[in-house]
Amino acid sequence: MPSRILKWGSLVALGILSGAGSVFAQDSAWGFPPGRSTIAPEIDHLYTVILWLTGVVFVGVEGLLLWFCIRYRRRPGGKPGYTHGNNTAEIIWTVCPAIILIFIAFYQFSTWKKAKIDFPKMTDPGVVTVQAFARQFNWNFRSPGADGAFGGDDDVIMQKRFCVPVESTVLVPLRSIDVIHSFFIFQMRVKQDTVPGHRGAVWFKPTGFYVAKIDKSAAPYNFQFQKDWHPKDYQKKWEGDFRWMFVASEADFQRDYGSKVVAIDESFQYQDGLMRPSLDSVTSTVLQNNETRKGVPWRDVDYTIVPYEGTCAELCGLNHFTMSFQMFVLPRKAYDLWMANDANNYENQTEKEQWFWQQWKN
Amino acid sequence: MSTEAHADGGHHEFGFFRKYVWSTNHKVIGKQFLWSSIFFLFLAGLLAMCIRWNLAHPNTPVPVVGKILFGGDGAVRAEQFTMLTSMHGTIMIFFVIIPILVGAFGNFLIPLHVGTHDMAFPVLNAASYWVFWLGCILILIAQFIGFHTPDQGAAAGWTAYAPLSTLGGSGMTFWLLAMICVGTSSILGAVNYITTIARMRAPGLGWMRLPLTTWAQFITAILQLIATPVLASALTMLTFERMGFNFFTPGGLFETGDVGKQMVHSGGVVLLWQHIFWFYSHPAVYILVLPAMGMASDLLSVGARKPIFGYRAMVYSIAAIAGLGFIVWAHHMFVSGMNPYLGMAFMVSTMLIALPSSIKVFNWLGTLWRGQIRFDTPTLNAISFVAMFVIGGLSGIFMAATPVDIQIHDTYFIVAHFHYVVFGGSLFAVFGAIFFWFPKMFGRMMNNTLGKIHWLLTFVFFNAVFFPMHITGLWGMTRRYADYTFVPMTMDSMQGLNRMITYSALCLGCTQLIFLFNFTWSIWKGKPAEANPWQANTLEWTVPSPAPEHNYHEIPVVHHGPYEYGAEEQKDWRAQTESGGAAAPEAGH
Repeated sequence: MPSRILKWGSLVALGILSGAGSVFAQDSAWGFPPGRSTIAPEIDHLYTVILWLTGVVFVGVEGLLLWFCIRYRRRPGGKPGYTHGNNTAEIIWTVCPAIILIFIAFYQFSTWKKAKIDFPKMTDPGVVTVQAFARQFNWNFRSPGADGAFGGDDDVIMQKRFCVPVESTVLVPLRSIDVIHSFFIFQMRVKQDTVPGHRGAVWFKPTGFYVAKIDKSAAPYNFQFQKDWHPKDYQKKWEGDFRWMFVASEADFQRDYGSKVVAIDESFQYQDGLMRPSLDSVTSTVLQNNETRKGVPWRDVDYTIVPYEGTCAELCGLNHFTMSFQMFVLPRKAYDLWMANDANNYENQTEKEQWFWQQWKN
Repeated sequence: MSTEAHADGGHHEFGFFRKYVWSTNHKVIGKQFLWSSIFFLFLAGLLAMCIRWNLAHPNTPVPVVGKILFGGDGAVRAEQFTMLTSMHGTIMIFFVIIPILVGAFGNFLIPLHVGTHDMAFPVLNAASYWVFWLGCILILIAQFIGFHTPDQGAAAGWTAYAPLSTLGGSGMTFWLLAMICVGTSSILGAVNYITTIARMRAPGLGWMRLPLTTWAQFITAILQLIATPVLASALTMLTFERMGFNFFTPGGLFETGDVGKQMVHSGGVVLLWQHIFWFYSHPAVYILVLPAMGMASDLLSVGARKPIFGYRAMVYSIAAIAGLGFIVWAHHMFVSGMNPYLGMAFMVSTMLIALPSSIKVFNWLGTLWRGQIRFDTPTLNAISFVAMFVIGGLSGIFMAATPVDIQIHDTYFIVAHFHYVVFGGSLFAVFGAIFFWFPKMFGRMMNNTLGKIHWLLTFVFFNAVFFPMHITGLWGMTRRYADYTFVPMTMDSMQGLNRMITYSALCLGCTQLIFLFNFTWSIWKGKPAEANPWQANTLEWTVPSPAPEHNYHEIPVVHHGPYEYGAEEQKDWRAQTESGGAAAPEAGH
């Protein structure tokens, strides 16, 4: 009886597993989210190499295990082979994995060095510095403002979001005022703990940004991305049903969208997985026909720039899960206008916020 | 001390209390550890199911137990969630896996395997359990505080990273005291195991004739003896820091990040906690799996009716894993802000530690090769141990690769990885081992059909729970998040898989009730067991089931290694006490 239970049970189980898997996983993608920084291809390549090496070992070992279970199952009158081992075989299966493991170990040095050791300098051309100051439970960002130096009244202060111009290298010095947090942006392939008392930093270079078309059927107050837009660049199953277009450079942006309407909303509210502007979002910076003006109703807006999402990856307390943030990579003009017109600069901060930034230690 | 206890025990005058509760007998203490860990297994499993429920249906009342545990409408409140994950991890590691592998099976099997009457220090052994028991009470208090006043619970993760743990509420204090107790229990146990195995082996039982279970216990005990005091020092420092001393928290920090309370601490170094904690806790990861490797080896050899393939290599690779286990700790800290050059060194040592594990896997395959595999419940569980450990081991290579770890660190990929090792590995071995040694513990057999049904369902649901976590983790789903609606664009597409994981986890939890029923029912109603129901070779099977109070009337004399299966024509096994046989080699060639 038990052996019949095993046989039929295994078959039924396999059926249930694959059925459930295909139903639940239909929206999911496999592997990393699309890499959109210069280091991403190297990390993804390394991942792929390891996936193949371990994949072959996995199939080989599990296959042999299954085969041995079938082939060497107990039979009436059968006699087991009596052996205590085989030195040659053992040497082979010691040396081969050793070679593979040492290969993997040394193969990754250059990528690690590039990601965590060879940092760009703040003064290098094309480097944009954004300070990240973490606290329970908020990411606070500071850009230098018009004078290009930190510490003045024109510093641009942002909470839970920051913006950088396209085609720039981003350097993010990290500090924490209370406990350990961790700065993680999925598509940039960066993660670094912000350790209180330590001076950490990350750098990355985004390769572009996403533009989404707005579905106006829900206008004027409900706003969502149009679903069937740009199938050619549809990132398979990324971000559920939403579709957006990847723009790699300033030139591409000018060619495809320069004369169209693009909205950048600072006050996206997330509800039910949809992005909606809050009703008082008249302070949104809106770029229309390459001009910025404020207070444009949503019905006049066709496209929007989609932020990259980031999270806190280190347990930092009871509301750890709320510590997400967004990074806007913007076309040059939009970036300049944002920096010039944004009201959230240092002198307009509350006393509390000003006090907070005074705790930053260089 | 041992002779004294022996003389006392010979009179059989003890009442119920001295016999079953305040006992110094290694088998009773082993069973006490077993019962305690099974209780905590179900408690921490319940916590896991609450965690999963909240991830599939955030802010929705948890069915059945919600109102009792969480109050209000029965939904897990966000501030309770981190307490749940912290307590689940802590209890599973320190109150389930370590005590069941080391406390229960180490205690029960070591004196039987080395052919002696009891542990070297029986009173110390009892002390080890009762200190552990004190830890159990303290962790239950921490758990109660966590449910009752969530903001005071122990919610800094099982790793208790400072300064979050420094700031935690009173639950954290009880957590620390509980951990100090289980750490003390581990040290006391380790001294006992090492002495017993090194000094009290039966005549003829050379080192290379020990069963791998006992070898693994021996090396694990050395790990515990060296590593646990380091944890104790870390815990003591943290306890003192919470009283105002300074070890881990630098100056200039503010408790809420708002204008307000400046932390009283200054001059500490945050990463110090992580270095000390992982210097213990990485070896602890091997404490969680080495004894399971030993037991699975024994179960496989008995099940396949073949000697262990490459016995010496198996022993040496356990030792190598233990040795290398001390120089890989900082691979938990690749993105912690530690010097990245140091990360490179730890990456290389981490790659190296995969080697002895791979040798063991190939030797297990070699053991099954040309065997006559008997698919009873212990063997099925042992084979599952190998199959799942392979997945857990291979996924470890991804995070050992530092650049890949940047992406997957602190995501569900890591959660999948260590559950494949600790649940897929250790817990399958534990289920097999309980089934296998049950007759020697209780004198009865567990039900084989129920055992197989439990194995099959556990195997299926285990994979349905933890395999998809690789996918969500690669996608970037971070650990310890109560809900993912704050990263909607990226995480919305993962909600389907998340639900599948949850429903499978609920099924996995219910499946364990089959085990619980089979276990308790068989203690009283199971089929009476003969002395050697599995036709196994090791010494414990030469005495009646259940094992007599002092194990052996006469100390047995050992004539050969423990794995002489298939050497003879008449029967396919040869007990270690049997003399003769044309070739009676030591196990290693």
